[in-house]
Amino acid sequence: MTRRTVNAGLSIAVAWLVLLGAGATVRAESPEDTFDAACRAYDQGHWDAAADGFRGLSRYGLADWRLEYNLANTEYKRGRLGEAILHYERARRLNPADSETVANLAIARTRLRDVVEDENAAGVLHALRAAQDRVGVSAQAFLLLACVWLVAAIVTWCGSRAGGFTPGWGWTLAGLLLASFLVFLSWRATWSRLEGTPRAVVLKPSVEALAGPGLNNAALFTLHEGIAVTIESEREGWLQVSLPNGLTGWVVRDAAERI
Amino acid sequence: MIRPLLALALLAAAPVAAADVQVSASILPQGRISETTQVRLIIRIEGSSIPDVGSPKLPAMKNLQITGGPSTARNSSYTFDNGRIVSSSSLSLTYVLAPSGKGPAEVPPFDVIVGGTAYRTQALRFSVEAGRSGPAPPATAPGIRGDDGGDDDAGDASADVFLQAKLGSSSVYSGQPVRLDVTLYAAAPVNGFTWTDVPSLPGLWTEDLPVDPSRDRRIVTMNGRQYNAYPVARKLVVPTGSGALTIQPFSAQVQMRRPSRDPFGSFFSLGGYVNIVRRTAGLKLDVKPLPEAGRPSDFSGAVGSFRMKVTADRTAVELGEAVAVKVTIDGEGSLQSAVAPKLTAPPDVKVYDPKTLDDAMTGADHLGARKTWEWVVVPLAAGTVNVPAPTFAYFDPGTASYRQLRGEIPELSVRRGNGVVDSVAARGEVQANTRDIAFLKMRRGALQEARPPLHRRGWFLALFVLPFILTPAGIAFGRRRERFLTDHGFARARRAARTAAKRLDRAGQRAGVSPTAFHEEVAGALVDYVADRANRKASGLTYDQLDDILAAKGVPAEPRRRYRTCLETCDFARFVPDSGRPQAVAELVAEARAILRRLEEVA
Repeated sequence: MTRRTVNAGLSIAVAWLVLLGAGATVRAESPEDTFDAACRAYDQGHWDAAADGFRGLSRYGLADWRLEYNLANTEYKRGRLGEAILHYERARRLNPADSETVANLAIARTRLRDVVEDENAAGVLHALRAAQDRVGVSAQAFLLLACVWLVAAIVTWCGSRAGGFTPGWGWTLAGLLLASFLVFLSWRATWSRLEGTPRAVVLKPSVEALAGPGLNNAALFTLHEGIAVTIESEREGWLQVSLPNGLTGWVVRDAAERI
Repeated sequence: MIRPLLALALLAAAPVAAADVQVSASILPQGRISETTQVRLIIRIEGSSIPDVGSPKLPAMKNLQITGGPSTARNSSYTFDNGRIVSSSSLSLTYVLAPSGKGPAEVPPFDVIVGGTAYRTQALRFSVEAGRSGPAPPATAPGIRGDDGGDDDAGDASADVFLQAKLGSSSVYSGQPVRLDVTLYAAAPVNGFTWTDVPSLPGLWTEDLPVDPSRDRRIVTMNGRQYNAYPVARKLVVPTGSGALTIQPFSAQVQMRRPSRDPFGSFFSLGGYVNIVRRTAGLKLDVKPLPEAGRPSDFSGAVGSFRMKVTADRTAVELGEAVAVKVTIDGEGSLQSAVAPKLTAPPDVKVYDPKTLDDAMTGADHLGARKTWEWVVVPLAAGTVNVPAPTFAYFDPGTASYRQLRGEIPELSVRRGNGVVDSVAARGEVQANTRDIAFLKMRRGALQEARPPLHRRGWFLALFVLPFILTPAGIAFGRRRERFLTDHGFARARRAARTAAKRLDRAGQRAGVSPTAFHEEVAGALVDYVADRANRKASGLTYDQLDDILAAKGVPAEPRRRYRTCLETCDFARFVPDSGRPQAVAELVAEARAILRRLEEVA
């Protein structure tokens, strides 16, 4: 046995040990196996092992709302409120129609230290936003597509015949065009709110929002773990964030993570 | 506080000469002093001149309390004595004292500092007699000092005022309500009334009842005198224990107008006011315990005489529907500690805990009480349901025995209805005790990989753009199709080239079989093509007519010439079958196709 052979054997043994060590918490092969193993760990109350398992799935490039939801649940159980809200938000963005995600997010938000009143989110507007979020961006996009095809079909049908645009078809077409416009507006607003506007969740226990991107600026207000903010701009390790109540300030980039 | 400071300031301005200062203390009135007499302690400082006087610190007094003062009065006088002026001054400090009760009273000696020198007063002792809490004796006429002339104001008619407390009953059972009235009797008009002592009533649950002295004033005659009787306090008291209870005296200060001795002054209501303290006599209340013998198990402390009324809001219901059963207890007595009657539920009936709808005192004298409870009863089985009668136990002081009321709940007729029992509605909606996050999401199917949003995927964008392309095309196609169906000329013109090409193909196939048929087919293809394009009937068209048609369509001369030549060749060959070479067949077909292509291009 040559020395080279011995080295190769040792390398393989070390690799196996590393793999075994990694699998001590959640031993799995495919992403689905890892997911199921993490679920079992959660079921047994092993929050850390479950969190490791769910987080390990990120290397597969997955974007599954169930994964984000379960990771949020696990972080919530671990008492990491910021991480929990971050992943609930991500799960909601991927599947806004899931009521349990919305409910869990609401429960997690009750533990927030910061209470920010959204001046624009009240009454009918609030209910409308909630309904839009439940339907989701993709469903509204499909609805818009269906409306466009329907309009095209009616225009084609009526336009290809002499006297095809009867009053009945005209009103139908006008209604469909109006509906298409409203669906477009709704889709655009929902997309902007859920996906189009960059948002982040504060993960540090507390972070001061400064007047500018630098420690020599005055501290305007303090944000605490779990609060979601809108990212207005970025600059060299700083995020300019704003709150629904209109407050704006700069926080260090490491203090918050994008949703 | 301001008054003594003012006095001291005045004194400070006085000349400093304390050589002949005399200090004395005295009590007024001098005669009989009763519990209700306002005692005045007067400190008198006399001298030719009075220097600074310090505010005296009165010692702890026996059986006396300070209720006012000091008020000051200063007097100066000048006399001529053997040609020289002799001045004398006096200063009086007056405190108002109130006896705490009957018995000996004493104001111990105390120091008065005058011009830095301490002057000690003498001890003052007197006896306090029991005060009058009833009307003046018959022999005493208003304005004449009577037996109780010891009162400082007894010489006035205004002094004929007394405070009287009265219990509705002096002997009651524990829990039995009794009314306590305090009435002010005054022979003269009363100008003001202020409580100075309202005793706490240990061992009694009390409730103040509304009273309006002005409205409820009445005139009574006692011992031959007329009094205005003002009800000043009215309480409902309920003994919470048993034994002999003492209700301590109530005392109040009454302000009355002092009649002027001058008839003119009396006419014009002159004469000033006087404050008089009056006190009620203590009251005894004998509270008897409730007997142990015969006490029902459901007795909850109601004492009095009561009735029970039971109602149900409906007697015919469907399975699972609720019936509201109300029980009202009312009557004379106290229901303060009474709890809801016992309503025993049979197995097929769900009875919810009662809620109290009404709890009030009733009757003009507020000695009555009423309480109403409501139960929600839900039958859980169809048929006739009998809810056991509720019972209510109370103690009747009139008969000194316990009694039990029993009400009858109407028989309930329960229909099955739609046959489905809404168990949630029947048994109460389940409500969460606490909130927690929902459980994990289990995996069904493969996990999804990260993908761009739907509206940025290629197929979605293509589907979105496609209608904008297909719509014009569809419209054009539809219009063309409709024209084909409705415009015969158009359809013939559009089909002309294709029809001609087919006939030429057919002609090629016939070339070897029948040269005549071949040439007929070629000629027919050429003629029919032009006829179709012009939407004319093919039969009967001459060469010249065909040429005119082509010319009208803008066909140049050269193609027209070739067309005519080809047509003439075919006609010639039809009548002279062996005139052509075999290879001429292919050339003719090719020429005909070329001519048609050319015509398609230019026409």
